[in-house]
Amino acid sequence: MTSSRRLSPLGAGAAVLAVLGLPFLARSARPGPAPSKPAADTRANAPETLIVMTPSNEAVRYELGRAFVAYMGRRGRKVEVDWRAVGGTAEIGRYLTAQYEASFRRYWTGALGHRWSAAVAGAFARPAAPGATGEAAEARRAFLASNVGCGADLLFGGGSPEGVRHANAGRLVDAGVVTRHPELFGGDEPGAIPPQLAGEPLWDREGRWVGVCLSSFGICFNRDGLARLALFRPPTAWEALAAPRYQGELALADPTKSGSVATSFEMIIQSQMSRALADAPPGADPATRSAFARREGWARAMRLIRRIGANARYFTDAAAKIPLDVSTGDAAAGMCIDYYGRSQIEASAAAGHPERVGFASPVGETAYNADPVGLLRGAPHRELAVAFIEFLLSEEGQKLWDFRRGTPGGPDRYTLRRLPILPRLYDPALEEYRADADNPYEDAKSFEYRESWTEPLVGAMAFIIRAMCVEPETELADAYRALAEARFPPRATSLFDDLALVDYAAASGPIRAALNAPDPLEQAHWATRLTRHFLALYREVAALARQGL
Amino acid sequence: MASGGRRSAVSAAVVFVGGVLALFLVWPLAEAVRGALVDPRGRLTIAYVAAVLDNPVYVTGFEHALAIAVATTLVSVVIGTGLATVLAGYDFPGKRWLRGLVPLPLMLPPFVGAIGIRQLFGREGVWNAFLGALHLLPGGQRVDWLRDGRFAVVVALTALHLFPVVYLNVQAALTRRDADLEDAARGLGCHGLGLFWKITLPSILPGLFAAASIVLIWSFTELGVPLMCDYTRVTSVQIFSGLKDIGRNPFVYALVVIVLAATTALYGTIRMVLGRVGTTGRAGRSPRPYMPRRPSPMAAAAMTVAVTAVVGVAALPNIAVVLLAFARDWYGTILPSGLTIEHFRAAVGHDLVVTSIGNSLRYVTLSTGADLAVGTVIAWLAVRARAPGARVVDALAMLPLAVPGLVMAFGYFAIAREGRPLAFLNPVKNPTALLVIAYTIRRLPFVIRSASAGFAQVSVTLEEAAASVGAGRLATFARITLPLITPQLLAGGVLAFALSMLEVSDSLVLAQRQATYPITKTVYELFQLLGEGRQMAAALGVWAMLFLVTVVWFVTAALRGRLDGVFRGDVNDDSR
Repeated sequence: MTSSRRLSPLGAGAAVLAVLGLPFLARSARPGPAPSKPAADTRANAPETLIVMTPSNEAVRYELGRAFVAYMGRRGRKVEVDWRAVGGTAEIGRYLTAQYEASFRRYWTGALGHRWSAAVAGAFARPAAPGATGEAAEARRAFLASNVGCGADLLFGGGSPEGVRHANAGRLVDAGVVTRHPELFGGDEPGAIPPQLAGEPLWDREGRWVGVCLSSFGICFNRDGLARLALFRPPTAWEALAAPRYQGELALADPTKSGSVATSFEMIIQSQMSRALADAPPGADPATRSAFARREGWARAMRLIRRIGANARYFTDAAAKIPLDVSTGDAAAGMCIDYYGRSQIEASAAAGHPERVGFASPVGETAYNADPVGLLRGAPHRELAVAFIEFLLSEEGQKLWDFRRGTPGGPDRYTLRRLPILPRLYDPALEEYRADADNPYEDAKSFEYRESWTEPLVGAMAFIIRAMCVEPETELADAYRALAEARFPPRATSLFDDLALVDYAAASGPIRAALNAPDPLEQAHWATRLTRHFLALYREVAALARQGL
Repeated sequence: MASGGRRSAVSAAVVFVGGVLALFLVWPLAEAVRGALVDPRGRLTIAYVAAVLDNPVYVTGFEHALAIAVATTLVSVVIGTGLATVLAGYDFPGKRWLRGLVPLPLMLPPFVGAIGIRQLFGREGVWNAFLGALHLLPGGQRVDWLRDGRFAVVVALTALHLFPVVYLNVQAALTRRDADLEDAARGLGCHGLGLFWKITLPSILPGLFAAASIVLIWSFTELGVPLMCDYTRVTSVQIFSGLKDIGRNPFVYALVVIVLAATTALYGTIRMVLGRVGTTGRAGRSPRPYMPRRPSPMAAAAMTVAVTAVVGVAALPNIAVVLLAFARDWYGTILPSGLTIEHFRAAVGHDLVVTSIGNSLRYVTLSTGADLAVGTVIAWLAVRARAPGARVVDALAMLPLAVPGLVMAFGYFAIAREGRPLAFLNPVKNPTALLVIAYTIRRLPFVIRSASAGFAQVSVTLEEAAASVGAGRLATFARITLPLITPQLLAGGVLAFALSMLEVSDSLVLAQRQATYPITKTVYELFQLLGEGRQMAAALGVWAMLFLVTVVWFVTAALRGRLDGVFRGDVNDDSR
């Protein structure tokens, strides 16, 4: 064997070095601004550090971090942002829960000298009942009066339900921004941010979190996929997605994985309840009409969600997967966060195919959700954290959300395509700089949200959707296919629409109670009971439909 | 006296590795799954596990996972053993290059591999475009390959991803088998499959056991492929989904406990079925190295075609990722429509990349070194020393294959929190120590199984001979045993290195600050960029592939002469 056929260590070593050198080469060849410096700085005038927990992506982190450093630099301060990314919203939630429990346990057993117990662990991060006494209530009071922390300053992003959840747990505290800025949070002040938009909170009245931008769920679709299914009009309402032609073609988001997704399902229920109110007995008193609307609207919404769910390819936790699968043609349509949809359209256009992907916002059926920023309890750099919140709410910070890249005051590398929360950013004079023409404050006027009708049931709704659509997905899809093929025979269809175990009374009664029970076993038993029920139901529907009954 | 000294050394080693596993495997695992076995009042309970077993969806998920594991293992063993037998047993045109390409399927970050597979088999993917061009899809219809017939697709894709594990282990075993035995058998008229079944197979059983146990457990808990095929009624996907719940999920940790128990049972079963793992080499002398044979030109050509076909099909995701990284657009066509280097330049030149490459190299070099050290000790204890408790340690060390990455990652967080004895490892300040530990523990099974196979195959009489002429235990190990098991250690070490380089879950959760990101977290971050993320991730995947291939090349070249051809071109040449 000749030596030329042998592997040369020198050649192989050179190849390794060449591969390692590629990133340096690519970096030096990259057009645009010089790369930012790494976070570490050991010089004497080391910058002040702000620590932010966030599920936001690199584009958001880059643009906001860069602009905040410049903003503070003009005020004579050298700062850096230390972004802490432990994954998505679910991972951040678990991380904060674990960190605060560990910190409070040290404080409770160390500084306060108490004994740690399961009751204390279960109570300190839960709102106590008014007038509650005993160890659990004392633990809650001690936590709210404490300065225990998790090592980070701010929680940023994840949707307003996350802001509400962590504020209620006591992990977020008042940053003082709401009281210090009546021009922004003054209610009726012109240009102020309203406390709610179509029922969705935009900021916390106790100042523990404030929204900084808005997003909503809509429908993204692939025009080739629609053509393949002989659907020539894009879906513009949720009801359109119930058509049996979408079998196996819908990419849906899982309401048990994200509060924002749950909110968008809640909007479907709200809109069906509003319609049911119009059908309520005209002569009845308001309480009877309201009860009718809730009961009948809930049933209509659940039937609609079940039919949409029967067409699902999947219910995912990864919101970014949906527009991607729609753009690659794997799904014909999907339930999509607005800026994900817009960014995907932009990417298709950049690849020379602006017509491939589209996005529609179901008017009157979707909520605008605020992305929150909140000060974490025990924040090590409180003053800098407050400055960051104020920066986000300033016109300078707000322009970054939807101004096109390279416009005056806009981002320098990524167009973020998210809707700013400051109403004055929707001034027609700024339209030429903005990437999107949407005005959520106008769009939301078409929708009336009745909080008491659905808000207490959001958890039960997500739980039911999981048991009704997600767990038995194969049997559900099979039943719906059989129904469609048999042209919806009456007996099978009536059985399919049966909601006996999950009607409004069950959802607001025993199911809700099981979800709030201290022992998770009650929830587990309900889950199993519902799953068994729906598996049997769908099998029976399919059998009946195939007999044409 | 000597025997007493040996016993105490063995006991010390058992205590050491047992301690390491207790601290960095059992403890974090117990922290993570405590919720499955303790009720809200703090009492032990099996009610949650019972609740899982009562739910038909989870029972079916478990059955599906088991079926996927068995089928995948069978397919992987057939492909991997077949390839290894042909590549180690015969010389044929192109063998050298084909051999180098076999490990490629393992060299892609999991989610990047998924991007490639979707590009191939998605509705507007390459395969449908190809069938469309042949007018085999009427009316512009598109077959949904990844969803229809999900079971077969999941098994095929997982087996094509994992067969290199079988190949590497069997190949290492084949290069160490005794040629005299086969020659003797041939002399007695035993040829072909009979020879393989009666002579070759028994001699490579330790290597096959090593690989089959890893593939079985890996495919039983495989998440990426079923998730990609939207196959939700599989235990791993159900656990992943439960972990992502924003509310409490009473089932998820009980499911993890069930998977752990099932894994241990599976490992025990395969150990019984393949048996004789503990047996050491039979010959009382150094085996005569095996030399590849030269088949007839027709047979050689057939081998080239067959091996190219298998390696080519298995490398399709890699090829798709490379093309996608440079594609301007690739939708509904067989090949990309237009090429560009913009994605590659933007991804590889991204600010995060340089730092994360340095970080990954640091973490992975340390963890692979630790894997080789600890793994060799555990294998030695189990196979050579037959120490009391060594079997338990050996079985315990296989558990990381069964534990979902996210579960372990949060377990590590729990043990390194402020106020805990290991708070000095807190990853928020500096995740290096904890990431190295996490990578080490997660990839330990690969080194242990390879090293065990090595010990099982090397004749103990060689070590006894060295001892009889006065060599100490360390000298015997360093000069006799280690050189003989180096091919197996290299096989396990390369797998551990590559898979640690591509580890996702621990990397995502434990490395929180940008300055500490390993490369996989950077790939994930770029993947999250809206619009262009898919191609940015593909571009970085290409870089990772290039890096791993050149590292394997370098290691192989640098260690040439000390190996019997685990990865390199020609066994015959260097064994002389």
